[in-house]
Amino acid sequence: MIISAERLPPQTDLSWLRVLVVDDEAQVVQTLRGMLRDMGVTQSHSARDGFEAADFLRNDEGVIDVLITDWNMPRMDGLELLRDARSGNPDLAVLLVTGRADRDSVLEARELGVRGYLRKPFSAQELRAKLIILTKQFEIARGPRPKAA
Amino acid sequence: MAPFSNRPSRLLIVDDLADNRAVLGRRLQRRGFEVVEAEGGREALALIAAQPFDLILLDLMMPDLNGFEVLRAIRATRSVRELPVIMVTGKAQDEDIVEALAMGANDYVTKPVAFEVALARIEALTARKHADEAHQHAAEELQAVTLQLRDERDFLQNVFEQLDKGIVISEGSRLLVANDRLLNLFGLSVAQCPLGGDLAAIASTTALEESGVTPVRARFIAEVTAWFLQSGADYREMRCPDGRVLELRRQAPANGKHIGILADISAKATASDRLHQSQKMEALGELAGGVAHEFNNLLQVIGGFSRAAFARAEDPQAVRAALEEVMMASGRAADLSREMLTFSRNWVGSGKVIAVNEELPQLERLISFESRGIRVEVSAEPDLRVIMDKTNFTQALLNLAINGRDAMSKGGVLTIAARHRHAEAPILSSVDVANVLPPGDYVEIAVTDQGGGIPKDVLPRIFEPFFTTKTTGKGTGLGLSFVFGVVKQAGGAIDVVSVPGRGSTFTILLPRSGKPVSPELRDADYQGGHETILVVDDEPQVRAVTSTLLEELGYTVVQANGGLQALELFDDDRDRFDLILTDVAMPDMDGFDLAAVLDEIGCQAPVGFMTGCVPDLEHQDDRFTAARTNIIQKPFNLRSLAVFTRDVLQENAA
Repeated sequence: MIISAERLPPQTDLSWLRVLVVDDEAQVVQTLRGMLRDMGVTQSHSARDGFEAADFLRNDEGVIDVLITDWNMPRMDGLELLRDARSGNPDLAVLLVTGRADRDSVLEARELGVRGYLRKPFSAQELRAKLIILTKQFEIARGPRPKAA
Repeated sequence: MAPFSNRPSRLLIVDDLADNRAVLGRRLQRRGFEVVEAEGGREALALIAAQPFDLILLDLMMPDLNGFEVLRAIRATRSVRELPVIMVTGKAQDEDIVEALAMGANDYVTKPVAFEVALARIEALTARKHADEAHQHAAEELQAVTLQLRDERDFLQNVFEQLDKGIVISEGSRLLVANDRLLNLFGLSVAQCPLGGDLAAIASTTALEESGVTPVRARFIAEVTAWFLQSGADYREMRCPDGRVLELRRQAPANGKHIGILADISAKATASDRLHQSQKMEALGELAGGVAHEFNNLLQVIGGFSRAAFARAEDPQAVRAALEEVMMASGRAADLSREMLTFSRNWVGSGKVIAVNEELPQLERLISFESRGIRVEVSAEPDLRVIMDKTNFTQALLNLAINGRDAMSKGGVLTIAARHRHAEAPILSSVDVANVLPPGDYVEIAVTDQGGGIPKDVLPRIFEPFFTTKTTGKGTGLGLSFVFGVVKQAGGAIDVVSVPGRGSTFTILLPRSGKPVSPELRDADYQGGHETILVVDDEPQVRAVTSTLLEELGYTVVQANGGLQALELFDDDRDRFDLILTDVAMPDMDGFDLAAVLDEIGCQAPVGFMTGCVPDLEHQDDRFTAARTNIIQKPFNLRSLAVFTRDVLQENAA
């Protein structure tokens, strides 16, 4: 883990985050949600592919803060999902889980607002670091969040 | 009509009255007709069935079968249906005449028969019959001939299409014939090669690429076509972009028709390649043995002094002395590995701007062949700058000069001439068809000897690694292959023209550079700095070593384990980095892609690339060539990294 860990506030509270985890592998979803639970994130949801996730985001606009999605999925991949979800959820922060990327796909992902990537396999620490960075970006965008009760 | 015109017409006179028959028959016989008589309808039908007749004179009124019944029978019988029939009727039997004509009689005469009238009608009808028969015969003959020709054509077509050679025939540049095999060898469809079309248009790279042919293949086809359309018989072997080896024969145009024959000789070529390959392996074996030995010695030194340092860890002076030995040995190992990479043509070299017109006179001092009776003449136009590793450049020219010298056993003049060449059209090299140089400005360096020339059968192979005509121990067979490799790496091309008995000219073309000549580097020139550098490499150890070296030089270093993390770090603080140093081959995203994305999203910091080796020259990424002034080859040491880092930083500042 090389992201300068010392630059991250050690005690950042992440418990208020509402996260949607999308992956076609049930085990990945389970592991991710487990890591999130351990970080105190209690409001996590999951979807098995882009379609399910898009459906969820359409029906519940604004109830998700962070989308953690696999890039490669059957039916509807991560980028397609984002394209679909962006209009109703302009503030949605995204962590893209990916293996390999090239110039064009990275540029497109950026266009869709992706600023964070997770490379499988990743550790809980890594996930936490990425979430903290995303949270910082949020606060800049929306103003500070009230701490969860 | 010819087969029938001399034959007398055969007439059948059918009448129940013998006198009528005899009178008419005799007169007709005198006019040259052959006459047969029948005294009734039944006899007439029997005769008609048995013998050929040209015409029937048929009496209407007869006791057994009357004329109508006989006529009906004739017209109903397939074989004689067309037989002309003249009815002989009594006067004023108009209704009978009408009925007979309706039933198919061709004409009629009335009794008493006016002979001249009857004769005129008989002659008219028999003449028409003869004409019809002649016509029919001719038609049948024609049809037979046509069928035969068609069979022969189909047969030949079949043979033509079954041939395992591709055949193309054109009239001028108009395509007349191209068989399936030809299309197949080129990977083209019939639709892409319409017969009657203009070959120059069909095989233009633009047209081919528009129809979905890959650029490399399109260039290949265009090149072959241009060659085909030249006059004079010729023969050559070429390697297709897909690796097949084609043998091309061109016949001297006759009647304005060009004929070309192509054969796939990959199998033959492979067999000779294999033999060649086994020789190569032998040479490689020797080479590898030598290199392994050398490396072992160095490892021995490194291992030994490391152990010494470890054993005397409490004595700083001893440790320092031992580490100096280790550093020297690893430096030598790096040199050795670089030399090997150069031979394997995977060494990028440092892409510095050099002035050919300044390098050549220096080279002249290196090559003095006067003892062999060879005078060297070097000439160069001013202001010829190219981007190329200086060592590679010198070595390449030296290799060509030495080959020239060795070719001139009887002495002579060796000329090395450099000039500016402006190309309006793409430049093709006969040595390497796939390597087409775009139009633009080039520096052309021609090395010409007055030796015996290169035999035609040897010429295609001279750039192959380990190919040599020199006796064992006199040459490695790597000289020209090295020249070929480094010239191509520098974005240029090489070509050769050789005239037996007169000598050879090797011509190198290198893209002309407008940049100022890079300053010479001396050992003491390197310096560090205080900028912040993002080091991107997926291998933790390499990343750590690079970072340590840079920190030693005074830089602040941030590390990223891949392209995506580098992007995140950049996003986190867009103004933080003054330089990004990235590995090229990384699992998540390659270094060139990373640089492209950074550029796209407005990163101002320059990007330097670190690479272990170029994967394969044949499939070399264009981006390597584009980035070659910003690439540093691993392994590097403190000095080369310092110089490289400073260069990239400064180039950006300038």
